[in-house]
Amino acid sequence: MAVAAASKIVNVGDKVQNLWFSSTHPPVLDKGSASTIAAVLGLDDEVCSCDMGASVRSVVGCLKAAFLIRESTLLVTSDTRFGRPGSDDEINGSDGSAAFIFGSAPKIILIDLVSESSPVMDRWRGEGEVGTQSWDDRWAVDQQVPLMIRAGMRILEKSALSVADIAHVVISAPSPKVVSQVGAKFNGVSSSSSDWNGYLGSADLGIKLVSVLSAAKSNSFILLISGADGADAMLLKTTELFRPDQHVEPLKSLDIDVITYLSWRGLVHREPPRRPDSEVPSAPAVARSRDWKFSFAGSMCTECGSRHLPPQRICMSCGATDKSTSVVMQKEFGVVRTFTVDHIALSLSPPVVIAVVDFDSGGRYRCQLTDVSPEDTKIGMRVEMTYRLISKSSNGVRNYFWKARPTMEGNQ
Amino acid sequence: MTIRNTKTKVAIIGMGCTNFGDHWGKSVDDLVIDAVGSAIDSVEGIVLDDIDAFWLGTTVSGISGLTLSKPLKLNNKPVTRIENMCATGSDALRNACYAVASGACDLAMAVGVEKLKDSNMTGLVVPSSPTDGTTADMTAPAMFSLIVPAYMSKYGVSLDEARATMSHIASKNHSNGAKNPRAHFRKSVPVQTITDSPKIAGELNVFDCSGISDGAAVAIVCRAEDVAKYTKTPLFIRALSLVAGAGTGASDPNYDYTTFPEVVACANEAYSQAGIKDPATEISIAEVHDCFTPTELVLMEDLGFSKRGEGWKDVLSGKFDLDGPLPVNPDGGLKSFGHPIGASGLRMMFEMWLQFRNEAGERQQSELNFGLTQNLGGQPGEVVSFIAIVGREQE
Repeated sequence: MAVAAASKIVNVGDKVQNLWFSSTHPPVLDKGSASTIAAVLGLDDEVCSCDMGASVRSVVGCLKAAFLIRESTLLVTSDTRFGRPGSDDEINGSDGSAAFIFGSAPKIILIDLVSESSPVMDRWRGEGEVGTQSWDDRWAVDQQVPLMIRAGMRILEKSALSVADIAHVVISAPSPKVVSQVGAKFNGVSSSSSDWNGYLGSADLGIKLVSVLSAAKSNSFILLISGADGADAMLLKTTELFRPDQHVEPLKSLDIDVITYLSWRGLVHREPPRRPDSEVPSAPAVARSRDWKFSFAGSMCTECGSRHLPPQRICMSCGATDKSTSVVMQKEFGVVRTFTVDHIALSLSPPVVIAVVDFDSGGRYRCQLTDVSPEDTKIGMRVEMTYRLISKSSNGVRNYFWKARPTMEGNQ
Repeated sequence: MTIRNTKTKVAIIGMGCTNFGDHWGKSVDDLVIDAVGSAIDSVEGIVLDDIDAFWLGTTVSGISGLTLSKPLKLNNKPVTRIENMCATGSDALRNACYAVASGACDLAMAVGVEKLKDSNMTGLVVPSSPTDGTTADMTAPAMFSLIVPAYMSKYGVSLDEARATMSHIASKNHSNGAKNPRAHFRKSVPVQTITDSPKIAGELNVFDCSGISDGAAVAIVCRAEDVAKYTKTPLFIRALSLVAGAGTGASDPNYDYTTFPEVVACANEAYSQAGIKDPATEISIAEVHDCFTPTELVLMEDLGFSKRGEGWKDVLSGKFDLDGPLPVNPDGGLKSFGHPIGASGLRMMFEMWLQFRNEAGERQQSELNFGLTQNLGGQPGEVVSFIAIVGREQE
């Protein structure tokens, strides 16, 4: 999701000074995910790529730092939110990602930020535990609502503005009751994010901000109020350069049954097929094929133009040796040439749908299909590439690589 | 190309083959000892120590020549272990043939063995080196099932027609296997049972897939000029062809998943060595690699037994049935024997051995001209292919 959001605003080869990644559910700990995201996006290697995760509030620190540091910064927030089966957080949780790029000639500026810190225990997750736990929701309402309102009022006072001056307000908190009560206090704004379903953790503030930007005009105020570890209020203003070209794109997904959902979350364990454990990616092999492994870069023969996925030293068409350039294929579209459904392969989401994909720009790759049901897969189906989880290895590595999915509406 | 038939001709003078099956009670050593013993016994007047050199074909049941020399207690003989995917056993035979043809030794033995049933795995598991983790995990049935929609789409074959073709192939091979005392599965299976069996991958049902078995098979070869010393009924090698493809199918948009180009090249070479112009009429019986039913369908076209796009019609017409004009897999094939990888190629040759010596019982064919055995390893798009042509005559 982080890659899907960020790749909409950066291109392969872009140079940014910072890439910060905020998530409460990063795929790996100790090792960061930001460096992986940078490699997948094909960003220049001189980027300072750091994870800023663990808590929901980390996103507030990221936004504050990104606005103030005055360096080109790519902020990627991405999260999966879920509680234990049957909990409010399971019902109210959502997954999503939002990405922002900060730099010169800004379209949005930070006017001010105020904070209220509180050690209140409303939500928590012990290390290694699956699913967030929460205290009585009324406790959260009693504790968070006043702090969020106070933060909101403080920033309006500091800026000498009234509620009527605010064009859009974004309120982010895990409890729907908290959101509605704080929202009631800031009635009168022209649009708010309260119609967005589901709480998205450290991605919540960002996604809800993007969702109001589609209706925003230049030179207008946006108030963000976040309730996590206390409260933060952030006053933003769109500049003359602002255009409402941002959009929130629901990831096209399938209806899945409860058991599939719970197995993805690690809350139930299916009987595996009698097949070998998932392959453990070799660190040196990954490093050798870095452009392929991360940014889906094949090779293109400089003698005859043939494209190879993965890259090859000797051209399959003309036999030229070591005469090729790297060609990044992650944003190319293709068509399914033939396919199958593998009912016995080991997978986090059986059965595995595999397709032979021929790209419009040349080259073929055989890969997993995702976001598609076996019944809907057809020869001739148009697909695009998406960076997804392939397997969880026995050594704890979550192996990500590119899969194909049916093209989203509006794409080619 | 300078690949050609051996200048000195070679013959098989003895063979042995275990029953194939779930040999819970037999180890790799037991299978090897049993198969080698029966091969030695099949040649009057020789003992194991008369064999000068050995080639052992196995993919996962042991490494090095020691896998053979230790159980047999060989007396410091040259033993080479060979691995070449599903062509492993066949390649052991090919190397043994080259050894005697070269004059480096007089009697050579090819042994193929595999013990798969100790692993608790579904399907074949091929060992691999560490990788970057970007290759889509796919089982063998899924790989070969990619053929079905591609074939249907290219030749305008309906799903019902494709299903009927695959069921006919499976039914034919099981029917043949029911007549073979060495087969793992010795039961005829009605077409409807095959058609209604559970899906494994794509359009492949359980009965479209070969099984997993244990087994071993052995051949003893010598130069054609020496056969009279050993037997009156040798089986002469008329062609040996092995091809490893460039493996470009999975990345080349020109490959359409309805053929194995490696098999076509391999067959052209074999037919040229044997002087065969029209394989569909000159070849009397064929043992081909029916790992999955669509594999056998495509092989009928790749081997020149059927015209392109018409193999399915020939299958349904009974052309390759046991009583048809060109029986394919008369012994029951991988469908009835299962696929102990290293042993399968030599098991196919064992059927030729029986057929050309009139020892095939209920399955016996008459008026045999050429016999063909064919293996392929890998998957559509990247294949190792082997073909041997055999006959009663030296030239």
